[in-house]
Amino acid sequence: MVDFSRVQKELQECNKDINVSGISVNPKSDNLSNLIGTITGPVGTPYEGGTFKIDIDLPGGYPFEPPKMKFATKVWHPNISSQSGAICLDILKDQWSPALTIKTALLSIQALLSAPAPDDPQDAVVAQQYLKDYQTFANTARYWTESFAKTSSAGVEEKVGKLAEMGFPEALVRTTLEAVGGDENLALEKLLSG
Amino acid sequence: MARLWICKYFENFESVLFVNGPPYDTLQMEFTSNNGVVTVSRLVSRDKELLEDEEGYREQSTLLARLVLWYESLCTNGIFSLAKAIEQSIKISRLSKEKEEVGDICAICHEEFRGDEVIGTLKCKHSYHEECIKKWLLLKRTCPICRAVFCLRFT
Repeated sequence: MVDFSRVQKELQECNKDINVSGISVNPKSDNLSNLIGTITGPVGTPYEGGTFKIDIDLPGGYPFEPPKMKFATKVWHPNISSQSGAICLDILKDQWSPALTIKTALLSIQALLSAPAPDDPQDAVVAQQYLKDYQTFANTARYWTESFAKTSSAGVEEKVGKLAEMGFPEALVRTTLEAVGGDENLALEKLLSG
Repeated sequence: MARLWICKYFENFESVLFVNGPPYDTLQMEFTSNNGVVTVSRLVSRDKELLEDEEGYREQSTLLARLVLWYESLCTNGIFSLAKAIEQSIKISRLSKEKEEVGDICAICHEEFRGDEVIGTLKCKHSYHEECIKKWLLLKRTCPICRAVFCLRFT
């Protein structure tokens, strides 16, 4: 049985300094064992400017068992599956300790974004690219951040405005942008071909 | 035939003899024994398929099977009790209103220590509620805060 009293405290604690840490955790539904965490991409990395959502499932034994976490936002990183969002991080496995919290785990994931460990990969393709052709890796990672992790309403509104100005119906622009993950150029291509 | 779950972490196996640990990379080990001697042991994956590199792990799995038998014999003969060993690795004290720990937060349940509670202190001097730390030590013999490792002693 999950220690919900502790989870409740953790949520309060974490959302107190949300402006400083850039990390938030919220329940997915009424059930406190399914949560959504949000982290910001570290400055000076290809993930900068992105907001990444992380699916959190608390197993029955929490906090004696680690929380199950995976990226809900697509991300290009050697230790994160580009397909499933699965994360390769020791503290989410055998190095878990009940003195860690959901917030410290999210902080570790944020640190992982800054410091990939390509020698212990989750996604072999990404890791190979990271080791052999760093520039292409960085470009792809940046492109994925741009496409999938930037959904800030200001940015979207700006893109909608631009594309609508070209003469496309606003509703169509919105659905098309959403379909391509927010990438303006892809949306334009699709609108032109559609 | 005995069955147990073990955890594979890189090249090392850690048995989860005591209580099921976190569900990472778990394999199943099957073995048979005769009068305390391991006869057949093999490692299979979660879905009961033989591992591709099972051959290479055979020696390790046989060794682990021997340890399991040894541990079981110690337990059945009353030589070793995990609960007792854990009990002995913790210093138990009852807090009174004046104790300095009162008001600190237990890192496991995140509740404050109150003036009348029983706390367990490990050799590294980190304190938790007695119930909280006992529950953790059943799973893993490390201090949650500093990761100090504890070896349990036989009585």
